Amino acid sequence: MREITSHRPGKILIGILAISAVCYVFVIPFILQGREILLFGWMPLAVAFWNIQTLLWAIAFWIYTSKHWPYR
Amino acid sequence: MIWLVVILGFLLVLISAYGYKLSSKTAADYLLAGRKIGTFVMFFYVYFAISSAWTFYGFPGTIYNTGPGFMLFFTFVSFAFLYIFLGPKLWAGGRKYGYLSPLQYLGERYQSTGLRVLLGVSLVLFLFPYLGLQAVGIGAGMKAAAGLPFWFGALYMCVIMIFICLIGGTRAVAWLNVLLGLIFTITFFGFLFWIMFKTGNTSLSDMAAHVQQARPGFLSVPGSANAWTPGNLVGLAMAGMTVLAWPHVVIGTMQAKSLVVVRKTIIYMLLFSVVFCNIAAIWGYLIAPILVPGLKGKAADAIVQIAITQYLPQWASAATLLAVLAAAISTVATQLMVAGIFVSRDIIFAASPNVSDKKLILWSRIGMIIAAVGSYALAMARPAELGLLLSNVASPGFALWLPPLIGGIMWKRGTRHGAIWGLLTGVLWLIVGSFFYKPLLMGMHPIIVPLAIDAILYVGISLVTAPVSKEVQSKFFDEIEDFLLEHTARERAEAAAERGEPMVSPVPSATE
Repeated sequence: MREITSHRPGKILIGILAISAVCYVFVIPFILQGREILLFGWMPLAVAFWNIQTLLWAIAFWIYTSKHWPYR
Repeated sequence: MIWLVVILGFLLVLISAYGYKLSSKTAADYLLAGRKIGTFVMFFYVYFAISSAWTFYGFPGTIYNTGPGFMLFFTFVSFAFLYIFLGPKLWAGGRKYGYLSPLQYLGERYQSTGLRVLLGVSLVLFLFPYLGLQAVGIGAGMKAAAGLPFWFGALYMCVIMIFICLIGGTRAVAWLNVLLGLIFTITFFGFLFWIMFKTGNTSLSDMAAHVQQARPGFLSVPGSANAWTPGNLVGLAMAGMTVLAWPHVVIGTMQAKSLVVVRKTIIYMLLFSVVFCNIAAIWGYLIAPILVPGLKGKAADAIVQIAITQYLPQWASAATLLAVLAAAISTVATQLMVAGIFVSRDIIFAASPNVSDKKLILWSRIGMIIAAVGSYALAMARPAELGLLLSNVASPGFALWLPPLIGGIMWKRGTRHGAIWGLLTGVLWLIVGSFFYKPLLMGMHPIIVPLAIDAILYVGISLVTAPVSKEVQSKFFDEIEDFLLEHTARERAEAAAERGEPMVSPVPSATE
């Protein structure tokens, strides 16, 4: 963990992960309640949020581990 | 159809036998594939260890029953956390000190054989429901597709698994996962598009409108069955966040050839999961509600099989059964190997550092047979729907070793007393709360209260008990970090030399 927290890109990654994880667990379940919105006319909001979160995490890890990770 | 299934099983056992021929017969080779798995195999090995018969049946079935809110369970970022934050340390522990399992690492880190045995027993215990639900998947699939008795399908899978694992070991299992993963993916994706065209359901928007009309509120949260209230959804998302504790995924970090493999595997997993999980979800919230409406409870576990059997040719139904078998085998094989490693290295021989490879392999095999027999018994009892067996029993059970795992790798102050008391209390709380006295779970998802108690006890007791000696702290924190940096520097220098480039900065810094 020290190898990640001790430089700026690592701190940014941890910040993104922490904020998005908190949103995922404690905010999105409340936002979703009672909203029957279908993205593109067919994708339920829960699925859309899941896709956005997973892609965000994939991009964040991709950039960090390929450019800044000390063990890359 | 039954012949196809038998032939697949025979073929897999033959491949395992070939894998045995290639292996070097050491414990590290049999249990960890010689720590030489590359990115391509690693991706299939890990992804299809977690994508099982449950993904084929339980995932779409649970969405079909409860609505798309269930999607929040699939939190792949936690795998990324494991592979990037914890993985390098476990990988280095295996390379530098020769550890064969993450429990051996933690036992040495906390200087406690008792903790190691306790972790081994609890993880093997919670592997049973996960293994059992694979047998349930095959039993239900064979029944739906070919009318064979449930017990036959479950037994078939357990017997094939025992042969594959006993003969082949981890290397054969990893390569089988490539083959099985391809069968699974092609069938799962291909038949979705085929059934859409065959039944004239080519517009996703029209299908969604149809489902909204037939089942009002189903496509929203909390869903037509009111399953995903805020409290339930928070619990589900938290359960999803703890999937990094699945032991068959954790051990993958010790089997990788290099840290580049670890890094690439997780990026590919995250990207592939977006495609894969959407396909599985579409089966559950769009296709099945239109083509096979009206199913409830456990019956919904077979919606994919039923839809294909009803609307596609008979050979497609047989191919689906093969795909489910592939999905189940790829998961169970990995889990059985892990159960075998824990039984031999961390339970039977926990206090014997110099045990021979022969004995380790023998007891691993005995452990696998016990796990397979136990899972068959559980499958026959079939106490709940597939989706719930995983998310409400196995996952919470696995999650309880997270505090000692994360703390052991990241927190020097974590002690064996905190780990043991936290784990013991958490496991007992989960078992009593799940099966005997539900109020203990306070109406929340089974993972929340036991894990919170486990974590609080771990931190609290660790703070008031003496940490391990400075030498042990140095061994597991400073020396491992130095080893990782040296290894990275060496790999970079070798890569630069291969490209014919001059070496600019051979020694990387953790703060660069």
